[in-house]
Amino acid sequence: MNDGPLIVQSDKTILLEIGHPQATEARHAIAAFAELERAPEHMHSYRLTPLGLWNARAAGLDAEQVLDTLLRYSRFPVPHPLLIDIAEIMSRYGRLRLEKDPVHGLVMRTTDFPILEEVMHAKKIAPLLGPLIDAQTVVVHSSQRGELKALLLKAGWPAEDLAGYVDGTPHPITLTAGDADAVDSTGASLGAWSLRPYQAMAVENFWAGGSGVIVLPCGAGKTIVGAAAMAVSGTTTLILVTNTVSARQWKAELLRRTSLTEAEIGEYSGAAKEVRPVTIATYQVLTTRRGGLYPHLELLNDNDWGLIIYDEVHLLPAPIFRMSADLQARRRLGLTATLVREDGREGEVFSLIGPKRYDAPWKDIEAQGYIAPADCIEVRIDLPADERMTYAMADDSQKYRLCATSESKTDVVEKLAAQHAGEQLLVIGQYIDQLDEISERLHAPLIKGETSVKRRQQLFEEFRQGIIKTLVVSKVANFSIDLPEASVAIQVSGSFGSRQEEAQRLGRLMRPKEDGRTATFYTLVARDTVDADFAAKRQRFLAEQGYAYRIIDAP
Amino acid sequence: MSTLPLLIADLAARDDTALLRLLTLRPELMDPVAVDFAALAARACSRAGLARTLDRLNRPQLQVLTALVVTANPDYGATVAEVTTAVSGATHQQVTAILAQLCDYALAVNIPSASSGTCDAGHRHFLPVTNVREMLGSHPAGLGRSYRQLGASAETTLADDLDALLADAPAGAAELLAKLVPGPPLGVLGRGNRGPADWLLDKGFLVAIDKSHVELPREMGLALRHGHVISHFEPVPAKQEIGTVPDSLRDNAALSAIATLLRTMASLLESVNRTPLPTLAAGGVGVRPVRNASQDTDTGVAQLYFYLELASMAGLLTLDPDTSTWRPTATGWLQRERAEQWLWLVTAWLESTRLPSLVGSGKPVVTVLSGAVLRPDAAMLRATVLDVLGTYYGGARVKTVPPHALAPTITELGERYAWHYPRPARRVTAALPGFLAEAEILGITGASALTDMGASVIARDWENALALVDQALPKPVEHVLLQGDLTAIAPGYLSPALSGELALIADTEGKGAAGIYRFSTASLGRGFTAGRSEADITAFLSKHSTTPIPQPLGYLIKDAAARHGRIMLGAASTFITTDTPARLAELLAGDIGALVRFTLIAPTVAISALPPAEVDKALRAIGVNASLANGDLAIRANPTRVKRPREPAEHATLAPYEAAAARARIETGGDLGVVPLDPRHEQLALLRSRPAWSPGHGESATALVQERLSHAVATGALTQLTMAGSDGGEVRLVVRPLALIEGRLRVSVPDAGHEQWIPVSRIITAEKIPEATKETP
Repeated sequence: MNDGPLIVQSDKTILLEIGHPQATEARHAIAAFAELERAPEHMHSYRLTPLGLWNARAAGLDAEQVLDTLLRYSRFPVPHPLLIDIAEIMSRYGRLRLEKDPVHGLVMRTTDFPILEEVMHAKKIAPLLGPLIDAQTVVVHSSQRGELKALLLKAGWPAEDLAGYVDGTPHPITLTAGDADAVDSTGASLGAWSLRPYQAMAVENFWAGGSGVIVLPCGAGKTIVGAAAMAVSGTTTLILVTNTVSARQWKAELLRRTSLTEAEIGEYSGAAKEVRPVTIATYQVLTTRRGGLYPHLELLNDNDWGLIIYDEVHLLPAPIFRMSADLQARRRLGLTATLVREDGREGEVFSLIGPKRYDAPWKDIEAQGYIAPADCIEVRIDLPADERMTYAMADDSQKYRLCATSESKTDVVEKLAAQHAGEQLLVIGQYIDQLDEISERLHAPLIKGETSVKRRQQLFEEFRQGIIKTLVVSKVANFSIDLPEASVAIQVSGSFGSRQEEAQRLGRLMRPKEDGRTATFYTLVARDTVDADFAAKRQRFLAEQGYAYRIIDAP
Repeated sequence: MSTLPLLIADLAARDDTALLRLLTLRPELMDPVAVDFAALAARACSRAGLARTLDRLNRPQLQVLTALVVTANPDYGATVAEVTTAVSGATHQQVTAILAQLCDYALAVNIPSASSGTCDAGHRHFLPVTNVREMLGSHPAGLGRSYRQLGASAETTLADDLDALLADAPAGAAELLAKLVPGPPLGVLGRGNRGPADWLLDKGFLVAIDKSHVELPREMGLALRHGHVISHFEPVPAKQEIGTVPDSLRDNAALSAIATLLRTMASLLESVNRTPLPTLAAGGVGVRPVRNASQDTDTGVAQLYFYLELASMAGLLTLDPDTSTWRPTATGWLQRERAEQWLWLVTAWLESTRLPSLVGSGKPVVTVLSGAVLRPDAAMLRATVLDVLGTYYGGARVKTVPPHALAPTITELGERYAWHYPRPARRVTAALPGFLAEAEILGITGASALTDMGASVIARDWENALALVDQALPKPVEHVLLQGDLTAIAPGYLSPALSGELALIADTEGKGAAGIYRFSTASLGRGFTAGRSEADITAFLSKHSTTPIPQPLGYLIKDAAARHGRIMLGAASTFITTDTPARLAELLAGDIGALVRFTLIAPTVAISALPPAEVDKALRAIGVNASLANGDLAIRANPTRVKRPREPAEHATLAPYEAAAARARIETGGDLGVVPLDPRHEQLALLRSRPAWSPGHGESATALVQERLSHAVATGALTQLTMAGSDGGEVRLVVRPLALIEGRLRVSVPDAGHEQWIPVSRIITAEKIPEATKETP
């Protein structure tokens, strides 16, 4: 028995001892087929899932390589039933293949007729298939390519999509990387910048795979990965983002990092409806319904896009999934920091956007100095006696609101703000009343849903330039807002137990600081209430990524 | 000719080596000790003894024995040449060797006139011993009964040229015959075209047994087989193309299986200790408690059936007759080294007469731990399957397995088994998948290939098996890694004491070689309730962790300790309160404190589980006269004797593999220097000290009757029976024995002109009488 860094458990988890000399080697080897589940300080745990194994098959790994890796690095004997299981699961991928046929168009082929027979008799799959050409081939309606892949995945026979992609309208795009004269939109020099190794690797993996998802921590430069993918593609591109502010930031970043000019980039949002070679559209405008129809949907179909980028793919709304099913012939790139869908639709991301092509643990990127280190602190607050009584007698549905918006939290925010006076400070919360009060007490502006886009942008800009030191934001600022110099965040309340929200909020602090400071993330939790339970749930993703929360009592 | 006296003489004439060989081949002959050679011979011919021995024969041995039974004349036996002719493809040399082996087994004897009295297989006549004929059934080698037994004459047909006769047969007759010739020789007359069958019946090829059944008589069958009883002699097993498994994969599979086995068994015992398993009214344990245990142990229900059965085989679980529940037994198994735990389970499995794979099958469904799982031949089948598995690696005494080990499939192993043990093959077919799955769980095989420890198990070399497993299992770890996400990870197998303590203060998570423990307020509360303090837990974790206690965990322990016990509940029988804390402290510090087990719950209040009268008595013994709360004088008026709960006696049981050695020690009076006598030598010494035979007495008398009856059946001789009548007196009857089946004799009574069945157990003597003389009872 060797003395490897892995312990393979019979419940399909793999433990990796970080302190082991072979740990890095082993991690690279297993990252290809196992999903990182938890990454605390000494033992990381990975999970073997069918999706992870199929991802590996999609990346060209076979079962023998996977088994060999496990046996080579495992400290103890690997449970034999697990090995058999892995081989069996992996053998399911690609037994059905989607291919282009010169005569019949899109077809599904297999060398294993009973499987074809099985899926042809599945109630939901049968209507998507056309006539049988021979014993091994069946015609597929080309409009059903995505839907069919999603259903086949659910049936446990994930299809390998070899039908290729349309080229799209060519539109050369180059990166300004390495260009010492590169300037941003305001004319300020960017200096010579280059694609970071992990970004280059991510783009390479994506392009080799065709379509798929890239997972990188907040602040690790996902936009640049998007730009680099566009440069490789050299075609017209549609970028789907969560909101207008985010759309404008994409635009600004593209202008900085690529050869694209203002005239080549269009915004397709509530405010403007421009269709240009590179168009940035919001999910909201695409999913607007009028009279039972989606009037803006033609944007997707009427233009010959060579690449579609989905920003924050973990938030992709259900209608976009359905639309994406029709876009299977176009290259698709998903970007996210947290491939955790609270609705559990990771399977659909796999089949409709594509398999995961790149994933790096947050702590790894931090260790390389590309994102700022963060200190996470949970502040436990004792509710005053009267609030405890109100809480104890409250209706269950009101309980979270009561404890999350406790008066005493506002006091603690004040004290913490005083401790960090002079630093760029964000206060993030869920409940507007509470935020209004905090904004008043701290004399800081508040950004909430009703704040106009213009006002938002103005406040962000002032915050960026350091004119405003403290900013109070509601959940509108959860995603895609570039706040380069925020170094302290205080979370007073959140959306119940949402793991990805917590991660995205910490992400606001992770852009590297000029002076290399450590960011501080406070989360205020009312002791002995559901607030504490939700906090524990929210922290799971970050705890799994290796962010250990220190717990302190309220100052 | 009677074979029993022949066998007695043969056995008595054998030298010590030959006799020891017989006792090794058929150990049941000396259990209990046989008093003389006659008893030994009678046992050798008994149906039970023969059934066991025939089960041990391989295919060529059974083929030659069958040929001998068919060809041997009841009086004169058969020569080697005759038997060789009857076995197609066999050489004289092969048959001679096998006949010698059959003599070794005491299944056949020489005719004395043709030999010097020893079992030597030259050009001599051989006779199968009594009852072998019956044990092989009425259709040995697929041949039918003789014309005489079927009550028909065939002289004409047999005398004719069969080929010429068959040339004139109607269409379909030859095909019909071709189906019956290889056996079974019985046919059913259909409703369709009966022409061919009628023609064959008419010409004497077939004999009608009743209106709708026909039989191909033995003489005709043999003639059509050109005199061959056995048409295809198989001196060696058929060649198989067996897949191989790299030794790394095999060892990985076996060792992970062993680790899982021991872990699951320990967790099963813990689960059953918490919730004993109730038995159903019809016996066995129902599905629901098994399902609960399956969740506890994170093991599938089907596999848990095996674990439960294995635990009962190993004596780790026993049925408590008072409560009708299965509970863990205080065996000390858990405290053993892991290699010893493993061997304990393996030896228990080998020796068990239970067949766990039967659970869940049949109608009504066989429940786990019920009587229906019992199969007396289970141990024998298991041992033979393992022996056959051993043959792939050069025989039963194989010590190590080559790097690329052969991994036969169930079908391949089944085929090989059918050559080595043709008679039990059918019984083993159903049980074989179960055996192999169990061998895989036990680590005897890994990835279907025999492992080194498995080879030692087959060779019954326990010491080597223990050493191999001990060496291969990873050494226990004595430390854990504490992490900021409130978990402790044991990177390997933790000693039971350490894992027990961790399981008390943290919840176990996951399943596998490493232990994962998650701390929470609730789990720590469990520890506090069990009497651990914050300092105890911190000290324990610091001692066993290679890393410092992370801040969140330290905080959690502090926080949980502070919040634990804000409201407490407990049982107390007596309270004691004093005016000052110092006074109480003084009392508690003295002997009395330990005697009545006080617990201090406030500075001036302590409680005890003992009744007030006991405490009062103890206090007065040291001169303290306590005043009674509420003036409860009844405390002093009615002193009661305290019953303390009885603690279970700590005693360790011996593992099955140690039991044999322990028995031997007892037999030698515990003197370890004395080597216990081999029972075979004891038996031999006894036989040599007695006369070979006193006819008509003991076990041999019954055997003699049995033999005469089967001889009479074979020859159709008129026989006079003396039987025990219904009133206890003797009854005599002249009969013609027709068949001897399952301890009953079918006879025709010439005087009465009818047939009847007689239980053999009632027959006292059987004498052959000449055809001319007839006696009435």
